[in-house]
Amino acid sequence: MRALELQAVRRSFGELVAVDDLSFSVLAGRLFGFVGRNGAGKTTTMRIICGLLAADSGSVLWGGAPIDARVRERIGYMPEERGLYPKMRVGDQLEYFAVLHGASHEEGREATRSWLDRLGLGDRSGARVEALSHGNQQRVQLAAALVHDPDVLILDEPFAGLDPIATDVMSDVLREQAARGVPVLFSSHQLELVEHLCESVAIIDHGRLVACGPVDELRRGGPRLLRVDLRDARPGWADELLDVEVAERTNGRTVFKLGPKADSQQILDRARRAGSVTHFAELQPTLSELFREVVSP
Amino acid sequence: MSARRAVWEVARRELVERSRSRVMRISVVLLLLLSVGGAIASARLTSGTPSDDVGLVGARSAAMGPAIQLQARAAGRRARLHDLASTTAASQALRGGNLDVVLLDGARLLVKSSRSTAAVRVVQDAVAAQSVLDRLRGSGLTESQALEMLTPRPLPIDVLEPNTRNIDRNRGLIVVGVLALFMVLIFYGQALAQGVTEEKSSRVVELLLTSVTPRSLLAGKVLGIGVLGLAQLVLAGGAALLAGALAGGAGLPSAAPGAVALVVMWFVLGYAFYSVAFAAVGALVSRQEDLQTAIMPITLLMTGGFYVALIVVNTDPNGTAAQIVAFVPPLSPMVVPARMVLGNMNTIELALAVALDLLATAGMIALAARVYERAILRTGAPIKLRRLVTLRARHSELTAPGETHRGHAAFVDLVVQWSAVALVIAGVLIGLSDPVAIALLALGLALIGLRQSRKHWPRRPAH
Repeated sequence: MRALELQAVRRSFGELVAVDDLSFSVLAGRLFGFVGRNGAGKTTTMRIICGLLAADSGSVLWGGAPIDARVRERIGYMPEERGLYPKMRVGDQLEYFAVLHGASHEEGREATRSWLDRLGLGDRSGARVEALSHGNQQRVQLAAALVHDPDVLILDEPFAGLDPIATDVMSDVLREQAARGVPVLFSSHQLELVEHLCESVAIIDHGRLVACGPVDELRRGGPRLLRVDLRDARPGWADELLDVEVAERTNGRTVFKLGPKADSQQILDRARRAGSVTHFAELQPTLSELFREVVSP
Repeated sequence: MSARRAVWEVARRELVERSRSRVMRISVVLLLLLSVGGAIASARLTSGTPSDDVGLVGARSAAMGPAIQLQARAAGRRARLHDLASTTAASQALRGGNLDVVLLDGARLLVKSSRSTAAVRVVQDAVAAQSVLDRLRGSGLTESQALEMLTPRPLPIDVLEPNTRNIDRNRGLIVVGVLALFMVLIFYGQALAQGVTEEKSSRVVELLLTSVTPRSLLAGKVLGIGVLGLAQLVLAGGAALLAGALAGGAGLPSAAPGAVALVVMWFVLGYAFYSVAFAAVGALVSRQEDLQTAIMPITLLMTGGFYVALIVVNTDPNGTAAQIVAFVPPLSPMVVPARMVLGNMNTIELALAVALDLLATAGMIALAARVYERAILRTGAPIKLRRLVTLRARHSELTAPGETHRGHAAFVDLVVQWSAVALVIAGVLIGLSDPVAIALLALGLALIGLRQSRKHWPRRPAH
């Protein structure tokens, strides 16, 4: 299967190493989440993939070959800081982007019409972009990334600022594109959404890859968590447990992170002595929990 | 997509979007109105041959008609004759200001108030000449022999410093021409800079540069906006020439077509030089608010060129200073047309000025393209120009090595093509009888030849 591959990509700005020895691959037809704190290097990485920045070293491959201008033309890109001509009409603008990516004017017009219809903007083709609401501008931005029928999709924060309905539309479109065989790489801070939508994720921190792989595997490989709900618990009951860390404590509920030597049965015994146990179960960490685990505070 | 198609599509967008803009349409209409109005005013208001309205009362006066016409022509004037039925009618016409003088029965003159007008002299001399003519005929000479005695052939004149051009009228012509050139250069240069800053500040450039190289984007924008500017100038110049020809009166000075051609040609050359500078500066700033300050040095340079041209026009177009500044590339677009029309700048000097300008333009394009491609994606605090120019490629390389050379070659190719076409058009417009025109044509054809042969040169291998 074709894949978008990053191999030991590195890029620095002066003293700052923005992307450090980054390697991962996005298989064709997969939704791939790209997460990290602000300034972790996500946008720099995406810009390198799109050819807007050159890597200091390392390479980006598509289908095993380095990405050149011809392949780059086949990428659909949605920049983080949205970019459209404010005074240009929506339809003309999308047609222009399609043509710059190699489509003929007719093809561009046709694709523009069908995407605007699909995104519920069929009647706004003649409107200037600046006259549209924020949400509609974002839809146009999405259409701009898709209008040339791209082979690869790179979307920087596509869900930022979307209302729940627009989020659904965006999710549907991304799923559809993946089903078409397109590798879809997108960044987001909405980790629940990423967990829900993506088969695989990469987590980067300070330009370095700290976790990467299928979401399920990552969750299984994450720390063992144990949730204990206690009624009328005696305070301090959980102190002095062997190799255990309290990850979360809210009234009556405690989530423990278990170390290798921890014994869940010992905790259960201790809990029963401290009060009446209403819930006791091992948990798989959510992506958020995993994220907090692997990135530096 | 090939660099050529990318450049064309970018240029096409500029043409379509900008021709829709109201500001652009208003500017086209304004310049058109100004040039047509100016041409008509110049044609009508310039006094051509002065004319006198002469009233004739009675048959003997009417017989003097041909003599009056002849005399008027000899005096460099023109007489319009009006036959009148009576002295009363003549008096009325005089009082009404419709006549300058009335000849009554070939024997008396009637004027409104002044005895010593040019019209009176013409009629007096005509009557006197007629009586001499009558006597000469009486002495046996034929009519033509008599006439020849009366109007001896004028003496030939040797001129030490020939100046066949009508300086005063040409001065007005070239001031208007250079003003139009200056305005269009500034207007379209600023439009380009604003367009570049708009793309940068709206971040749309990030989207564009995923599929188009910075150089193609720059070339397309320069080309699209330049074609609009050229069209506007050609339209205004053509309309002015047409209006001047149709307006009647004295018409436009004979140097007008040449002046229009020179202005159009130097617009192309000046635009090639200044536009890329405007674009580079547009790429350096991130907000429209900062743009006006940033382009100040360029507009000052252009304004300087314009004022130097005005000074050249109003003082000595052949002075030492004028001769020197014509060869200073940033100033020559404005100064050379003035020196060509008013001064003694010859074809060889023109060719030299064009060559120097092209050389400087090539340098400016190389510098500006470098600045543009390094600055266009950088946002935040304004960027120091020197730092950008000296930046190592590693820090901000946007194109693969091979692409850069191709893009650059395509750009140079387009500039050469443009210049060649402009030169040929200018040559044709001036007319083949003029040595300047022949030189322009030759230069244009040479450039076209150069371009063709360039195509067959082996491409430099890309590393």
